[in-house]
Amino acid sequence: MPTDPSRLFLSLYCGSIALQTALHYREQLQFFRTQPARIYGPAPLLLGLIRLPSGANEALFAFAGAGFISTLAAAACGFVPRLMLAAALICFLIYFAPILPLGYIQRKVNLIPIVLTVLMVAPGRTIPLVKIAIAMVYLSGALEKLRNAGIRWMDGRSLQGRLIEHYLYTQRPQALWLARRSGLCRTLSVLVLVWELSFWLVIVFPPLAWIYVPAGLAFHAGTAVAMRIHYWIYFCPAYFVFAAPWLSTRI
Amino acid sequence: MIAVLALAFTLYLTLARRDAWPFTRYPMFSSYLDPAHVRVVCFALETRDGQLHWWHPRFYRYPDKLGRKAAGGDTAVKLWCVSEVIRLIRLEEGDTLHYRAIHVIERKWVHGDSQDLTIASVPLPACPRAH
Repeated sequence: MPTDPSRLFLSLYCGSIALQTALHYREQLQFFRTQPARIYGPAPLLLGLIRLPSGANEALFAFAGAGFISTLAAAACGFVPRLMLAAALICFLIYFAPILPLGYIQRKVNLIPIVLTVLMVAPGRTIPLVKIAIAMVYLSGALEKLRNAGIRWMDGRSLQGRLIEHYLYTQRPQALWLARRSGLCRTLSVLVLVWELSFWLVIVFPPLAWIYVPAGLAFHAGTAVAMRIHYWIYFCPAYFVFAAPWLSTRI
Repeated sequence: MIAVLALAFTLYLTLARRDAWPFTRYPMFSSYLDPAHVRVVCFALETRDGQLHWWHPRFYRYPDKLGRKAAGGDTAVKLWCVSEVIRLIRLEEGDTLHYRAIHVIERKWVHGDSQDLTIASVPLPACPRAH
């Protein structure tokens, strides 16, 4: 008898986010101790309105992190999932706000509260709603490129500029290797913008996921190697939404 | 209904170009940057034996954040950035006794290669700080 795809996605997603946070917990606590607010400014207000309490309180921060891991793990195991997801959502807001500047966190965690909300309030419609949430991230990226740089963003020179800038900051040879190949940069720029702009097609035509999802994973792998932009840790677990329906018929 | 509202709010923020954390846009790397206009500020550490190393802390986004602040600021801002570099080195390594100076270096991309210019140097004491 096939497993429910939404239930399977909940377990895979919450389990992997809990595991990633457990693996990085010590490092995130050390980052908190560097007082990033001194350099980046105070943590953002919740919804632009509400100040969150964890800014300078290490005990609260550590407690929220432990709570986030344990409630997600409990939800993944099917233990009162709605209540655990609600608790995880509260812990998320307290735990991540003060460490948002950390390289692999930043905007990369912003999908988590949306996915947790969907899992909590619309468990029967998880698969399409999470796909929409992912597509909106990429659509936002594409629209910002078109608004800020226009169609010339695709000429490859801007990507070269970003790679060179990254190389000058970090001396990362992979960035320089790619920056020196203008034809490849032009091709990648076109592919990235077209892919971001049209990712929503996987919602309308699900078989397209066989093209768009591997392309997305390749894109995130490429940015991780060339520019240390790590979407793997907190964003890519949402890609389980494409695997869950397929896996559910085989488990 | 709540889930649809959350997604609709995200779409609104995308179109209206506003942020209300954790609902945000994704504008990273969206502006056009010509390679000929790339100019960054980095921090280099000079050790007691005269070797020069780029500052690579464990939390790798600090150098570019402080570099951007230093690039856009006056001398006071640059010195504040150096003080933050010192603070972060002390947190990571315990002290700065291993280093003789911190150099603030402007890096440009000229004819396919980097061109570096030291714009400030701050000597570091050889003895531990008095507390």
